[in-house]
Amino acid sequence: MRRPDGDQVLLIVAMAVAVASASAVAFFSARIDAAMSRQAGEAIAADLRTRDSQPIAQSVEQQALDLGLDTARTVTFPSVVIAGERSALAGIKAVTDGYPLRGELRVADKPFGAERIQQHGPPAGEAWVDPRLFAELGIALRDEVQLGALRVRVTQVLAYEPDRGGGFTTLAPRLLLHADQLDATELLGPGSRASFSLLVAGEVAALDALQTNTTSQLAAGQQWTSAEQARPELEDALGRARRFLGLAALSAVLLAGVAMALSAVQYAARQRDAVALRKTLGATGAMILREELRRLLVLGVSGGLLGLMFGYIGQWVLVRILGDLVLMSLPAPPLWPALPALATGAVALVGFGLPPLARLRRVPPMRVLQQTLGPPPASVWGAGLVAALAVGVLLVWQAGEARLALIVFAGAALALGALAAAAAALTWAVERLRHRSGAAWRYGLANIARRRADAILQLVAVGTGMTVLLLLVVVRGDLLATWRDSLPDDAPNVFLINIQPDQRETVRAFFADRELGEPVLHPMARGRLLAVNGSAVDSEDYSDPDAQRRLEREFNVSWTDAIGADNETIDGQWWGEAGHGQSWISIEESMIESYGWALGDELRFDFAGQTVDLEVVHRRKVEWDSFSVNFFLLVPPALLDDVGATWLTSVHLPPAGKTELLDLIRREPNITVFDVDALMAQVRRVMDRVSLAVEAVFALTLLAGLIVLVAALQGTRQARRHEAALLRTLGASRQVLRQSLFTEFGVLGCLSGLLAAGFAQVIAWVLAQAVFDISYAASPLLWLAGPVGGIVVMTLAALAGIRGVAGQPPLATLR
Amino acid sequence: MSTMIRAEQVVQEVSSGQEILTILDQVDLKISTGETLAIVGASGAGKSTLLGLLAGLDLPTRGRIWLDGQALHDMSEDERARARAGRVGFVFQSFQLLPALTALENVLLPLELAGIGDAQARARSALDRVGLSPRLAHRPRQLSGGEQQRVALARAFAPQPAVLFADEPTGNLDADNGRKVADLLFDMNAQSGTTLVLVTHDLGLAGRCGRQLSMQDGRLHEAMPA
Repeated sequence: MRRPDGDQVLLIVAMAVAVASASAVAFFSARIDAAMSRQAGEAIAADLRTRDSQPIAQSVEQQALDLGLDTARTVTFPSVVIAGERSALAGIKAVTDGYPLRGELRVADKPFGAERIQQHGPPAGEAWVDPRLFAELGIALRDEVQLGALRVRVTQVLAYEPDRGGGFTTLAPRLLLHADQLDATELLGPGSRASFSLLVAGEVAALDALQTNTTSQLAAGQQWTSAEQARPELEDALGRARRFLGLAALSAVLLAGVAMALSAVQYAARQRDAVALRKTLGATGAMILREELRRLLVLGVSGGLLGLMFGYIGQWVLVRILGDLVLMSLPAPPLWPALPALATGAVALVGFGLPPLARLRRVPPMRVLQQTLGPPPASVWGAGLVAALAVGVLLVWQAGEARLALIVFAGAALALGALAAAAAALTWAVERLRHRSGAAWRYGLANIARRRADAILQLVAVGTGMTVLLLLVVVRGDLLATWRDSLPDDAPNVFLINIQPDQRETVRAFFADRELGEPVLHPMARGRLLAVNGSAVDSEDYSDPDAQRRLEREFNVSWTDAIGADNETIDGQWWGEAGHGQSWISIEESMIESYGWALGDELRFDFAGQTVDLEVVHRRKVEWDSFSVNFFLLVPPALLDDVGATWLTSVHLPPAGKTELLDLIRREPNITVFDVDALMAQVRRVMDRVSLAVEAVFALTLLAGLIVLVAALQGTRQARRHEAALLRTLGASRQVLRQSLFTEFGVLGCLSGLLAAGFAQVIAWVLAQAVFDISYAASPLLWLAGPVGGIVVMTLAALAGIRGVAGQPPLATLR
Repeated sequence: MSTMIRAEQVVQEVSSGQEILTILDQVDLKISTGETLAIVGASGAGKSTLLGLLAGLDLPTRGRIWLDGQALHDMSEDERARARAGRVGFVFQSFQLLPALTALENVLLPLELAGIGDAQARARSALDRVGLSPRLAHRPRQLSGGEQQRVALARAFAPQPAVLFADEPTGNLDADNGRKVADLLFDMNAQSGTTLVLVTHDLGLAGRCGRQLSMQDGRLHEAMPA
């Protein structure tokens, strides 16, 4: 085959971008899939697990042992770990000797060092901690840390635990220790927020027998979960993430498809003479078609292989960005995802690139005598249908279901339509500006107006990628900053929970002595909902997953006769002091809605064995981001006095105060401290990583948009060259020519940036109003970054696309 | 009378593979200010190449050319472009209007490139002179061939150039339109006293010029008026 010309090179590049974006996501997903299937059965580190906020009865474990099954127990809870002057909130997990029953632990000698397999957890006296805790505490291996009343030596870096769950990081880093040391920590008092698990593994028949025999003995909310049942939750989260990345990658594939179509149209236009001549000499339409198909195949395969190479690098970038959020070590990517990625590129190539080439077979041979003759006019509907079909196939494939594909298709069509309409309006407005003087300015703007369809296509193609990137880069930061600014300066930034009744005075005195304010302590008891209006509740009756989850666990209930300004009565009457001892309950609005309850309903709770019937008499709206302590459920005082409560409070502390808090934790180790600032920092870290990964995928969308720009420019190259020669003949210097090009593409870039900034601003407003409930003003950064970015990106791409146009000697071109 | 254009020993060669083709062979030429000159000759004789070199659109392989006293052979391409701006007008066989611009904007272009003030008024008046006042806002594709060439004439004369180069100005027009355009060309030229260099193989058109030269095998000869 001859050396490919400009249009063919673009076709190869477009195919490469399509395959690169599809394969980067496919390779990455395949690695996660492989890690997950390797983990099958490991997800709960056992064959069966039961979990509760109370320890599982010893009799249940005994029956398992009697059936010849292996057992292990784990207890997990959040707590502060202290090392010297530094502290960090960790997810503590205490395990018995047998743990894990399925799968294995992996440890290392240094954070992110080479991993070794360990069949069992740490012996008593040792703690294994995950790499993040090393960083947060500034400790090294063999250092001691303090956990509650216990000092324990860190002996291994914990790289992997099979039942970490969630796939993506839980917020707090792990500290793993032996269950025998739990008591020594003195952290688990009544009402503490721990999760107790009993793990079982062994023969299927014995497992079945255990489930049958013990179901009636398990307390409400405790039930056996198998590894298979545990997986869907994990798979759902990862599946959604994968689908999202896949659809994001598809936007690059589709833009690349548009570039393929443009390149193919231009290539075909230049082939007409040669095809007419070959037909005159006896070539048939079928021969022409075969040859074009062969050419397309060669171009597609070249671009596809190139794309796979870049896709492989791309997945590596994604793993680098997201790798340590995915708490699994990922196996090397398998090679099979190359096939679906190539197929994705092929569908785009055939859908967008083939129709113009196929039409070449219908070029009339008479064209050798009459240059104006071409193939019969293309059926716009025909070509559009083929492309739409390709888009549909790709969407359904990527989305995995027709309904989601349809929603995405409609949403994208609507968004693109709006972008195109806005682009048309902008180009129209710009044309009004050309009557200012200056040859370069006038000529540059005139080019936009003359190639208006091209300009709109370029604006939409580049604007799409830019909108998404602006949203991710600018709006995300803005929204977060605005939300933070919307919080009062003295909003509580530290929560103290798990305060036992006899520690209340200590806590108050601690704050009073250091003049850190007067914390308000709220009581809290945990109760399980048994019945509503006399009928037993079943989580299956509710569709809302949060509603289901709460029913399976316990509700937190507090009591008071006064509600704060951040609580607003929606319905019913607040009881005040008159409520003392009454069997009433006040419920937060969203919770009452998720269960469909109404005032007057009767709820029956079980508080640590004590059954209480409560009438719903009050409905509240709570302003949660006041960061004060608030509860979904409130009852009057003097009703639950003897069910065993713990107390909690929230305070605003300056940084120095936070350091002093360490004294309190050392003295009263069971009190758990949540540092809101630190938690926010962790949330932000996860968000930053995830959005960086999404940005990486959408950067390919922007690249594809730029290829559309260059492809469209390629088609105007000949005409531009001629016009440049003419301008030079009339006395224009190279500088004037350059100025006119800068005008044309600077203005186009500025427009695409404005378009993107406008769309990002609208989306930001909607998000701010509907999701975050904050007021988001126009973002100056957005309106600066959009146009400036647009001008830079588009001018550079355009100069690359039409380099050499201005350098032609006029005489040669005018001939 | 002063000299507007002078060419000395101009040679233009192009290489085609191994072979070197001589397009212009030691051409000497002197054109006085205000003179009208026709260069005639068969297709491929090198007349358009000579026209392009005289206008500074390209540099000769050897030899020297002065335009209005400026040594084109010593100038860079940008310097030659600046030398042309406002001083040299062109009329081409294929009109060569910029398709993106309206008739008025096409005429404005050389005025703006030369930095001539009052460009709008001048462009409008030039278009008025060629009878196209009602078509100011039309684009080239909305105009007939004859109309397009009249816009090109307006564009050529609007900056009041010292020299006008015309390459087969009626070659793409039917007889009727060709005659109208030729009449306009010579009328406007007579009014402005512009030096005119006309390349054509239409001997009738050549005959309307004050002097005729014939190009053969890359050399210029005195030609008999038709």
